[in-house]
Amino acid sequence: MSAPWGEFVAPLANGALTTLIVFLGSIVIATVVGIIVGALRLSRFSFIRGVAWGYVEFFRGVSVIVLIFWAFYVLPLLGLQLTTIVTAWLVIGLNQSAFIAEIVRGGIRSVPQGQVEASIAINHSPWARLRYVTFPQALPIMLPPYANHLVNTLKETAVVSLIGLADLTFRANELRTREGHSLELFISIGLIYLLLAYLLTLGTSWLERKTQVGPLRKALPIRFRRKSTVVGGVDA
Amino acid sequence: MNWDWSYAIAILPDLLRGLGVTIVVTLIATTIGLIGGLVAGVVSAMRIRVLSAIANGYIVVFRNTPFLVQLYLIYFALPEFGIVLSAEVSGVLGLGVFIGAYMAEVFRAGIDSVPIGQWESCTAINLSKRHTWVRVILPQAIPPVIPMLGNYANLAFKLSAYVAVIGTVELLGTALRLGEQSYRYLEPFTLVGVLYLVVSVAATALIRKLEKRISRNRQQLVKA
Repeated sequence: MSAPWGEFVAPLANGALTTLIVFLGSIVIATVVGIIVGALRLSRFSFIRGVAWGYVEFFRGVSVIVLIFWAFYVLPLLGLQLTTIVTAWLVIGLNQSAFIAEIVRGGIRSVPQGQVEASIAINHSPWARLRYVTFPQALPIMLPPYANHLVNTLKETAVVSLIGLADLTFRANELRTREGHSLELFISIGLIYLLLAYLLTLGTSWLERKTQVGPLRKALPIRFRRKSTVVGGVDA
Repeated sequence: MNWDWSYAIAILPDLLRGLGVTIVVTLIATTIGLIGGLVAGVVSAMRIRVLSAIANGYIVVFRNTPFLVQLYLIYFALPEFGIVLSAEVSGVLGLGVFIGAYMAEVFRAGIDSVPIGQWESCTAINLSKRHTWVRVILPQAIPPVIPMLGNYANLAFKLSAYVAVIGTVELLGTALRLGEQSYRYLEPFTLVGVLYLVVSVAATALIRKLEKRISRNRQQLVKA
């Protein structure tokens, strides 16, 4: 018996849309918070560094699935009523921001010390140093591991199905209970996730070429550039 | 709703038992991941046409799809072929296969970092393929990536919470059951979060120590 594909298309397309909405909101939060926390981890003040360190350790240490259940069941009891989508954005966004903070910190620290000293010598303010000297040079270094975390964030969005958001995984599971055909359903949504991940990788490798600054731009063919497979952190 | 210490203390033994199950799940899954990852990593590095393509396909597909979807596929789709696995076995197997894809990539990077001169020397002294791998390449490829493998074992620990979704009663599963029984979610979920955090942060610290020791040993090796 072949699967009733006609009945699958509309719910799955709908689910893919929800997955994308969850992904976009999460990645915006993760990127903004991650850059701020990453910069704070390099602060001159040990107290601020300590708080940022605690933040990163906390969100890297707790699994996103535990966090989302906690936020979904416990926050309302504490008097904080959030809609499901906001809970999803916050949990996935804050969780991923810890990993992005580490990438930002590593990227900024990998800029040669001489660049920082030169910037101090010409009397840049700390903000101008970050904005015009260190950050632009750190960007191409940060992008490959950042691309990894885009894909990780996309994969993490599947947990929102557990708190009742009708994303791709949720729709597939719903169709499975009604129609069966679990093999076809889960392989199809696996392929959709793969396709989305592939599109993300394409987008970021384009950005990588765009953001190469200084003498490196176009000087090296892509195959000679540093590989980034093991550099990116581990997600949860 | 206020924190109830007597309830929190009453459920602690159950949760610790759940933590025990979580650790067993993590250990078995990590073992599966290490073996599967090593095989896939070596096969991928050997550049045998069809086999390497299969190994690379495994790495790409399992790294780029959500773990939850893979878990559902194993738990719900395999029975259609007459392979019925319990929730526990499905969970451990799924986690092992998922983490194996990450570990394969790590092994692959370790193998690629062995200088090409080592390969050429093996050819020059006519070592068999098996000896080249077992005596020369792998002993140099694996030690530098041990901390990275540790990080992925830690990831397996955190991801093991997902197996609660298909009905395994580990740490998170215990909390879900307790919540259903008592309608109190504050204490079980908060304690679960704290337990995960404590184990995971301790594991991270341990891995960092290991990393330092390995790099120190290697420096001594280079000097000698």
